[in-house]
Amino acid sequence: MVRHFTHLYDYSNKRLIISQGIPCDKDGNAVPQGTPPLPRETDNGPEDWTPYNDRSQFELADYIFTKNQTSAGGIDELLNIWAATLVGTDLEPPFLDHSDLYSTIDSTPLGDVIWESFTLKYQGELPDGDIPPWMETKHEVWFRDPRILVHNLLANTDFDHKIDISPFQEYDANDNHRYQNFMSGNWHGNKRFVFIIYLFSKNYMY
Amino acid sequence: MFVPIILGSDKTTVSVATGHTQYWPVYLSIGNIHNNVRRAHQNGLVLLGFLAIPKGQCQKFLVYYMYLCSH
Repeated sequence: MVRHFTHLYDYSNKRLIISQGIPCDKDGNAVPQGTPPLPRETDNGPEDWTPYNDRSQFELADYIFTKNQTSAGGIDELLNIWAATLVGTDLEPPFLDHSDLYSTIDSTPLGDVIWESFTLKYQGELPDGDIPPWMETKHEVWFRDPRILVHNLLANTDFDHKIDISPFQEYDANDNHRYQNFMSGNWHGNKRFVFIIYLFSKNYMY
Repeated sequence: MFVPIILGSDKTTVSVATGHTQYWPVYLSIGNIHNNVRRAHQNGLVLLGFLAIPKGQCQKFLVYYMYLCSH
């Protein structure tokens, strides 16, 4: 089996790119083969309870919300009693009220990527007569930052040796083009494909 | 590094606990991962988001259209 990297023509700089997937650091400088990856940036050790101040604040939130499933009114009542015991000191209760608790829980990074949302509403002209319901309702879209998702996919050590870093072409002994995975597709000379690379080539490393 | 993004959605709608709202899940994967791994490994395909499903005659383009209108 012969494998060689796909040649791509860079239309902006009028030169041939041969993407080889050489391991490099974040600035694009090549590092020696076999260099272990850096630890994840979000891994701040077992003492990091962000967005909670400390372990006990996390455990309180976990108890109230997950285990006891206290109502919003119950949470406020508990925290008011808590605050009353601290009158005259500089201390504050772990949470101000139920909405403070909820927003802290909502900002907890789950699998390193937070869920975000935005709301859409039709703002064009309304037709005369019957107005379709979708024109007047608000619509919620939930998403996670795709860039971080892709970073996590690339950083997943489960995919070690099961991932192709650069596009390539593979031929058997009889010179038959062998297609197997996405990156071994027939990208060579595909202008549309190369143009897509050009569009995103600001940080393209090769 | 070249990372091809693969997006997908299926017609399975998800009702959240409150009942009435339905969403359309959008999945993301990358072309670098080998095909057999993407199919077999649950982390090869990640959940990117949930689209709202406005009730209308042409739902597919409605969300995108409203996105354009909101800018």
